[in-house]
Amino acid sequence: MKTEKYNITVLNIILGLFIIGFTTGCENILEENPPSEISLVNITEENLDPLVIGIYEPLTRSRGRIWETQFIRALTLLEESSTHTGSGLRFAEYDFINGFTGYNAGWPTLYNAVGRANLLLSNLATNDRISENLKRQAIGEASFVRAIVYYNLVRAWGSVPMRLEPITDSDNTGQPLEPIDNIYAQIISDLTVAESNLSPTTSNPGRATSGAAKVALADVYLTRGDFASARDKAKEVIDNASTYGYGLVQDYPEIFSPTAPTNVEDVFSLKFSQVVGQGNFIPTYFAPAQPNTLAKNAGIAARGLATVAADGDAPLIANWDENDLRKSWNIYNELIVDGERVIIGSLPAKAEFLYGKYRDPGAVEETAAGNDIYLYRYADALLIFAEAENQISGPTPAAYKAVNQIRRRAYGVDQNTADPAVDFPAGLGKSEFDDLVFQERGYEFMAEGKRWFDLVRTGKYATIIPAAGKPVPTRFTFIFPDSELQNNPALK
Amino acid sequence: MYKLTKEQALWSPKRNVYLRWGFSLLVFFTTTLMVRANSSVAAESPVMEEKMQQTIRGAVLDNKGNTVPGATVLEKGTTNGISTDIDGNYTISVSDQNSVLVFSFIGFETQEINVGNQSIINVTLQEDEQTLDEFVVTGYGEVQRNRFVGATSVATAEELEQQPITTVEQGIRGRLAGVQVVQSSGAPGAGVSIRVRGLTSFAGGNEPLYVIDGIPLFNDDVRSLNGISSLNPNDIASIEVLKDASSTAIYGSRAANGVVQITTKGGRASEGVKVNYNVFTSLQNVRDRYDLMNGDQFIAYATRYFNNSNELSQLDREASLANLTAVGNANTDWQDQVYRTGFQQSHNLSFTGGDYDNNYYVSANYINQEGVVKTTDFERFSLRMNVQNRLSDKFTLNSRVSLSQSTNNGFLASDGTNTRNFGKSGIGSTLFAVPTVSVFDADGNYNSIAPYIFSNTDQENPVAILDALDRNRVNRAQAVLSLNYAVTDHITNVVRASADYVDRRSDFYSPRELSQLGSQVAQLETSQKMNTLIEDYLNYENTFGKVGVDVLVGASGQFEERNTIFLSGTGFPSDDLLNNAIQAASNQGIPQTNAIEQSLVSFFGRVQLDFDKKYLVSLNARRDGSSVFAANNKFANFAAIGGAWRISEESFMEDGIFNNLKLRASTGSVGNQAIQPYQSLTIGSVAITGQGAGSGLNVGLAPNLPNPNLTWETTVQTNVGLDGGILNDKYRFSLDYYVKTTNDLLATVSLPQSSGFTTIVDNVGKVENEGIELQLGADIIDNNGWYFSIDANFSRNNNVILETKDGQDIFSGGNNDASGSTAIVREGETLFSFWSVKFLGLDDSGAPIYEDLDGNGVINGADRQVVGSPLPDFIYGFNTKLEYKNFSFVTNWQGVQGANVNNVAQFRLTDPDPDANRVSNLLDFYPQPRSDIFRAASDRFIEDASYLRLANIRLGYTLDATNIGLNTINFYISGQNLITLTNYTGFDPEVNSFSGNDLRQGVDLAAYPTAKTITIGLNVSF
Repeated sequence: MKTEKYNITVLNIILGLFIIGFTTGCENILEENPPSEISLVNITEENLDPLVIGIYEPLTRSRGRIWETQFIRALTLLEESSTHTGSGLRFAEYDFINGFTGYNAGWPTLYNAVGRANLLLSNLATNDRISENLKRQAIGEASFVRAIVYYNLVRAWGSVPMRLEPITDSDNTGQPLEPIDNIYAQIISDLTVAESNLSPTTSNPGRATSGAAKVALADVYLTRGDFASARDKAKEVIDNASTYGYGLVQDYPEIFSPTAPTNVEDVFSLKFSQVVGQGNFIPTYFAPAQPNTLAKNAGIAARGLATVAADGDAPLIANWDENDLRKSWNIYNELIVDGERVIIGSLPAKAEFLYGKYRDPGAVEETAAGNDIYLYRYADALLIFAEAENQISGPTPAAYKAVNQIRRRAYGVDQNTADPAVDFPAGLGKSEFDDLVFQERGYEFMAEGKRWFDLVRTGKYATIIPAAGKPVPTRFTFIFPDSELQNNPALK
Repeated sequence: MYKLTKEQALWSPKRNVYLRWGFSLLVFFTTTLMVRANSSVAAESPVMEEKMQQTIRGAVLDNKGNTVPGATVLEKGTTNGISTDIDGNYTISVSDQNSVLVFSFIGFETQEINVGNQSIINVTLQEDEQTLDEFVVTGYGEVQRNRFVGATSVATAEELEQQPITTVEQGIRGRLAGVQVVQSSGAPGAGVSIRVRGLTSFAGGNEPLYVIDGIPLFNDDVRSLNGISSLNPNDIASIEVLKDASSTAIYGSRAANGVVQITTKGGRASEGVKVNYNVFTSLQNVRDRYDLMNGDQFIAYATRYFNNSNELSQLDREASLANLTAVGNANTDWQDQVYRTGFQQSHNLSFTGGDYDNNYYVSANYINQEGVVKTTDFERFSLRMNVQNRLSDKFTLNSRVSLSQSTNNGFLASDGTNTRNFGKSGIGSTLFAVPTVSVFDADGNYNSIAPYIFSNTDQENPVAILDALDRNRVNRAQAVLSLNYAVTDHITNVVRASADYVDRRSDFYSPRELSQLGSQVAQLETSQKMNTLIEDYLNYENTFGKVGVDVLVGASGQFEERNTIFLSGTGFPSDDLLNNAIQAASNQGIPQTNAIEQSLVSFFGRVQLDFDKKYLVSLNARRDGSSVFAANNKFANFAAIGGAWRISEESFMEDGIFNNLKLRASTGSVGNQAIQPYQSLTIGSVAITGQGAGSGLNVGLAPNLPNPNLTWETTVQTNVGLDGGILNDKYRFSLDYYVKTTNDLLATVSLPQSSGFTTIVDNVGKVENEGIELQLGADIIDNNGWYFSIDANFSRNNNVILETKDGQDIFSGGNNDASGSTAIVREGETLFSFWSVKFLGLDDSGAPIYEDLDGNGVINGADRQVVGSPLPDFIYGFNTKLEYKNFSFVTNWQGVQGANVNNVAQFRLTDPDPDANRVSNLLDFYPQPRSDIFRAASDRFIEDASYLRLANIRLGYTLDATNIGLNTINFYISGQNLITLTNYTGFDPEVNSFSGNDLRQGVDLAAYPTAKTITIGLNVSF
């Protein structure tokens, strides 16, 4: 038989714990306090800056297949000199319907950034907890990101849903396609806000400045054919380059350094780091796939997928001067490993080259390349100015000066010293000058996602693309992702 | 700064009142308890000292004259008791001549005998008309089966023991009506999902609630090493699946998918210690290999392909053909390189013993299952101790403690993303690897399996993948203490506390040579989960004339804390470090930590009435408060009523053939709350970016899209059933018809991505499951030492979506989905129907023709339609048992009819482009292979995965070994999966690669193949 005292002790302990445990927790038992997240019931000066950073974040989201890879790959495939196999080839030949559609991975990330910008802009409109100064900066940055996202959306997909207010619940999420003119009007309006709200420089590389807003504005005006405004905005930046801290990096490959945080040419770029999951996938996308250790051993990328290649017979490449230092950086058809030349295997039928713009020998993994993606460099300002100025006034000395700076840098000579061997020939006619500036943009911005938009906006696709041996495009916009068509009631 | 204000977080004052009332009640119970406890001590102590001893001896026999070992002999009104020994004998000392001895044994009627002057009392127990499974384990108690009004399916220890199983779920496959068990793959220790009466939810989970020894567990990850795989099947006494509202409503908000009640074996009073040793070993081989091209076939095919591909330039074709020749032919069978004969062993040792007051069951189990793929295995070590102590005649303490470690080494299963796509998964690469290259090159390095200029390079050598570390380990400790207090003869109070600690660790390392998968990548993810429960319930049971009353009220609180840590690094001085020294990585990944808390507070009750043991009524209710819902929706009520009429007890049935006939009916509501916490709060999660930091990193905040109206999913179920037994249960049947309607479905709703968000968890829609279940059993022969019985079950469930939000479709799969499979949730269809393009046939040129729904000449997403359902039309199983003297012969069959599987593996392996290896009958799919064949993921590869399988066949022999000091020895030889009848072309029709993802049912991403097994086993008890 048990001693009864023992029973009571056990009982008291259990019941005591029970009652204490239960009743003390009573008030708060069902209240949720997430340990790893931050309440945003109120937006304050404390959480404002992280929220602004959060707006940029979707654009730098890696793990491959997202914006920086698929979108850039798609736009590179559409350059007249590009080729590939299978659906990539169909896409490179402007069959948008049956071609590759991987760029759709960028759709949600682009709109994700817009959604965050909308949320913050909407909140700040009535928020009285935050000082005007901080508010002004945040509104400027949010407007800038929203503008550049819509600018990329409208050029790639055409008329798209344009949402300027955050959604609050799962109702009324349908959004119809917005006429293109309205989208551009909004882009210009947002960039104008950014231009006036932001300061000319930033100590945080990758955050928007008024200079970035101006260059973006110049680019938008150029696309819209508003050459006067384009020229004026570009000129503002060029004339006040020191205010914005802008210049040209003398060594062209140095611009694309995977390790430098920024440089004088950086107007606005998406920043990637040599940290797994935070890097840029695009070097792997561009690097050779065969032999499968080549990309790593040649110091191009952690591995290679060769998802786009260049056709050496395309005039842009065939006519490329060997002395132009940009050529050997932008394309290659052999690599050196341990002092020996290695021929790249498995290139698509017409391809002789791969694009070499983005290389990171230090990337340990495909998602860990530090190369940034430039949306705008100071070179943009110069070339926009040259093109717009020529459209208005013909090839003026100012237009020559702007483009020749780019030429001289490309040949490794002093940017400010005339060099007849390198400079544009004197006495060009307006259209000759225009063609040469166009070619110059092709070399300068190869594989930076600009060529296709240039071909379309100028109408030069009709001659340049067939000259490169590809069919003339009959469609100019990407197809919408199924998920948008399925879930947006306004698109049914 | 970031805390919620009180106003936001607390529920309404009215609800608070209920909560306070509940706790007051609880405090009352427990205080009463302590007072009573003290008084009972005071009252009893003196009495005990006066007792005089008298010794009684005797034997207990059954009505056939056999001795009954293990029967309980108890002095009435005391805790003085003993069990009969192996020969049915007992010896007991009683207080005096007025003592009454109570003789009882399960399956027999209890007898009471006055001691008087007798010193030898021999007793013959009469068999009870109720069978051994007479009790149903219900929520918070158990009830005699004939008084139970709900619908259940049960599996006993005896049934589980018929097969050599490593996990509990394997033992109930095909045995229980209304219960579908689907393994995700054939991998050792692979996750298993259990579906009770169809699917009810989009996002709230469809796994049943597991209740182990009274403790409800959240089975929140079925993908691998799920909640009950850590259980030793040998420890299980019974598995009871509660299916209708009447039996599940007491578990309220977690019961919508049914409740699986698992009861472990308890101690048994016995003379000395009973030891049981159970061992089996098995040999396993891949059940069905993929029929792929060999080297010669591949070269011939590729040659033909390039010769036909006029789309390609002459130059290109010539280069490809030259390359094909240059690579040569090593004729490697990659499946041979990867598969092996797997050896499996299981040892289980248990001890049970003690007396009536204190008894125990302790066990140790070790299982090691080598997979049919090299380096893969599942290993579990577990210990259990179940102890019962009668502290006094009022108090009984039940303690159940178990510890286990389960380890699983996998073969990099494909997860459908690009990161771990087909060619970089273990089995996928095995199937893709071209047969023309050898495993190693001349230098002894792994060869690339992409040797051609036309090869897909995003692949790894499968033998190299064997070197990767892909391990999951779960350490689990579970303990439950219950203190039962018999307050009076009619009132019992139970206080229970439990803890369930799960420590999970996932290890990954890919060695240097895996350049496509990521060279020298180490990852370590650990998570710790602590689930604690505390509860108290009071039971009142009495009989007033013909009316039996059983009332239960109680309260409980359950709390869970989970935290995870993820570490990674790339680049190591040596592959030998694996992921054991991530600090040595040349590139450190960003560490990620996360913590989650959730709680559930509940009040529950039951009233059960019976009149004349003929008419039964049961009323169950529960009020649950869950932290995961919005502040205004924390609480919800669930209730059900059930009734039964025991027709066989009526006088007009007396002379009929029915020994049992019971009509049952029930209706009521249960809920589902299995969503992630914090979805109703306005919060921001951390988002890391390089933006604003140059080459470093910056911290941003990603605001969520909260749903402040988030509430419970409620399922209303009505059930009608009829149970019968004919000729003393020689023939038995159970028939159920049910309709389950689920409202306010918790769904992850896809938003138009232009909204800035991709999904939100919301209450949308309505789904209905309607079905019938039939269980039949017959003892066909039972004479002259021969016994033959057959048991069969059949379940048909019809699932239909009645409503979605605004009639909108919900789709699975995002843009990052490389699996080529999409599912749809659409009104009028079954949940998660396949959504794809329809294949119509081949045109004259041998190119596939697909149905162009919008007639625009292009086959794309707009041409998709519902093309099948992953849910079966019906499932069935039958089991036969033949016994003659000491021999027994058992077969277990299971079948699934009408389920479709999207065979993504077959889609990939029939691509006419020879960028990897292909099925050997590729020409049956594309008779004129060439490069310009446009093919889409279509219903061509959504296959009928109906099957009938001989899951188990077993021949056993039992030897009476009492003469060598043992009790019995049981030998057996058995085979598993020896016969499978199916037209499915993949490894196995029972597959679910996205096992943890309800939206993606029935997808086969080249899942790990299933095995055919031969087992020999031995069971010794003494």
